[in-house]
Amino acid sequence: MNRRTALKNLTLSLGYVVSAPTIFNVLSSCKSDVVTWKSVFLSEGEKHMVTHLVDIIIPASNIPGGLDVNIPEFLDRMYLDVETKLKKNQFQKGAAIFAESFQKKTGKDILKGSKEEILTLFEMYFKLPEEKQEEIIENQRVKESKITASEKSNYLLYKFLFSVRYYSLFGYFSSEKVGKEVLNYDPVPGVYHGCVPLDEIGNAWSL
Amino acid sequence: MQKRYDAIVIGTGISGGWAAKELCENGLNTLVLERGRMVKHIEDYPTMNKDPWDFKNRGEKSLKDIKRQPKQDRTGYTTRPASKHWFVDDIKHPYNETKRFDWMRGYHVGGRSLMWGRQSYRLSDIDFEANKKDGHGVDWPIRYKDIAPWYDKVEKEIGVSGQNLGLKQLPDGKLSEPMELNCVELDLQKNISESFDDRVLTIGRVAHKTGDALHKGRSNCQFRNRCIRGCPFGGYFSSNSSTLPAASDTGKMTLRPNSIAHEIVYDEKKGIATGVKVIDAITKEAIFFEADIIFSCASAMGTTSILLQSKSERFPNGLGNDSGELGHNVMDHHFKVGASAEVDTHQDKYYKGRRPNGFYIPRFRNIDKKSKSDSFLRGYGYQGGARRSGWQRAVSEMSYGTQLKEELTKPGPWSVGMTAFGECLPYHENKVTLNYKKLDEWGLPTLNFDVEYKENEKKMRVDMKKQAIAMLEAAGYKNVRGYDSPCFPGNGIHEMGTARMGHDPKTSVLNKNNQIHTVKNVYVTDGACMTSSACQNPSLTYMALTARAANHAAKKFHKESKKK
Repeated sequence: MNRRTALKNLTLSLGYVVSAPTIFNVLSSCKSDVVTWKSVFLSEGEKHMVTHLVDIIIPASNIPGGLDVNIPEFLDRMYLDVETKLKKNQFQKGAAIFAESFQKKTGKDILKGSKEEILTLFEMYFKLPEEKQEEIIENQRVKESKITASEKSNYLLYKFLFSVRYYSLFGYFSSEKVGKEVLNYDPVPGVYHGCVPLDEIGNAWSL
Repeated sequence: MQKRYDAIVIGTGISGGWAAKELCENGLNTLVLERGRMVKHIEDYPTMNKDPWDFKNRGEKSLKDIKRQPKQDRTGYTTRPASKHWFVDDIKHPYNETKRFDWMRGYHVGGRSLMWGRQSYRLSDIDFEANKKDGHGVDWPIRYKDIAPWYDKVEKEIGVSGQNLGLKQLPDGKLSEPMELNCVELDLQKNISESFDDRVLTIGRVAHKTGDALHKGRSNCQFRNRCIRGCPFGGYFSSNSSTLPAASDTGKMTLRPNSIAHEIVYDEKKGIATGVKVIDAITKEAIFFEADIIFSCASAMGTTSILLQSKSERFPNGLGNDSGELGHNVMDHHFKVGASAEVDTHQDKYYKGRRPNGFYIPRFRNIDKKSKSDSFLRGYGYQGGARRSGWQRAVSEMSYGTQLKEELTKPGPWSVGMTAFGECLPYHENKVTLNYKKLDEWGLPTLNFDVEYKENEKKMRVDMKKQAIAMLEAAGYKNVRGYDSPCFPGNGIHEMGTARMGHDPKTSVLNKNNQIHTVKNVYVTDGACMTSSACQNPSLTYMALTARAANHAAKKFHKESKKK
């Protein structure tokens, strides 16, 4: 993001008081390039896809984006430690199908894919009429063993994309930066008030 | 180390802590045995102040952890990094299941008083008379008036916040300032009162300190809702924050962690128990401690295992087991059934603080002629709450981009849900036995569970779901959805009934003072003593019965000492 635009957006943002350190943090993280880190689960290609997809799903604006809170690294660690064998398998197969689709569309290896090119492909799968979206979401609830051979490839592709989307949201809203600087952080409330005007509080509580 | 004491207490959980405190405060030199490790209040709560980002994997449980705790993981939440250290390693502490039984427990000083749900409701005479009236199980040897003063004492000392309603099925208590209901819960409360003349919604009664009463070393609940990790404020009651420090203050308590009590030794000539056989959990050294009085507060199943292992010529089937009921009549509360709904009003309202409590709808079935059900006996209560949703509301969507992100920084729509907790009848065939073929690493037999919910519970569940739906629909909420998920015995973590109280030694193990009928210097005051399960969360009753029994024991002890 252009620093000047970022500053303008910050000053224009309403209902959200930004402290000086926050401004600094947001601006200092305005590099969309992949930060160097070593993956523990993701292959190079998967890492490349995940990084761009996270940036597409949660882009930076006047508040931090997904890459500012290291979501690809978080997803990588979660897939190693937390996700089951079945989910790992679905993720890897789905990622391969996405990469293959990318190759077909652009003639390029996924590792050479730019954010814009990956966005174009992502939109093909995600920018759909509402009924189509509902059908896909419904289908994702079905167990893999119940999916027919002809549907399998599409099913796994969406498993991959939904998982990246899930970890983007989870990683973003459970991150320290967002938890403390964007959402309302109150580690020791001391009281419980059951019915308060939302205006008095503003954003959602982070804890 | 001293080998002889006035009293021995086995266990440091919610019952053991109370036994220790009452015996020590009555001047008895008391040895308190805990099979697990030491846990000091505040000092040993490693996760008490952690935010989600402070945990590895943001607090999600890892595959590696679950491998050691496959059974403890059956709750779904206890094995997360925030609390997994309070639950046993299933590989190290195995048990056997003829039928699935979810035995959730922790071996450490404080036991489950550290991780308990803190909901605290009195039983009433409707409960104490239930077995006698419908013929299931045996009659309780006590009535409400016998336990009422002890409920008073316990509530005052532990601090229970809540609202008195003057209901016969839920007696009033000595309660401190109630927590607040939120806007939607208040709305539901009003709607239920308008649409139903047989039920009410109230704020839960919880063992949290509110108001002005003084409780040594504890401050008021700070509404962090991290209770399961141990509370640095002592905001809720636990053995560690309250009863064990009180016992320690008397100078009469010797607390010995890492001490696996496995047998209570019976003296044929004297006709009483003389002490407790212990294995040091770490050194594996065998030790025998003697005492005049023994309190078994090792949890229902722990106590049952110890009593079953305590064999002698007089008691070949376990200490005090003339009736053959020891290990039988296992009960728990069946739950995981209820309803939820979305609420599209109150969008301009929110709450402040994380209330470690919800609402309660006390039992309204089978409490009088009018409320009698044709399909099932006994009753159930609901626990629930309303809240505004977080980012999770967007998981099943295909939205993305800045708009999604910014929208999710705001609280989502309100939802409300309730879960019923139902009484389980005492069935003789629901039992736990010892398995001597599968020994643990200390060479002790392991427990085998053969327990199931039966017809009465199943029929009750139909009504539990139906009434939850009816209340949410009457309130006019949207997308009301009932649910009835599989629920296995044990998962309520209210296991009880295996050494029941009763009038008759032929059909019960304990008398009205929680003494073993035929071994009067052994008291059992944990969940094992329960004659029926009622539908209320049971810990408050364990504490009241323990305080009552400990004072009975101490009085007797002093009377007999004078004679000597």
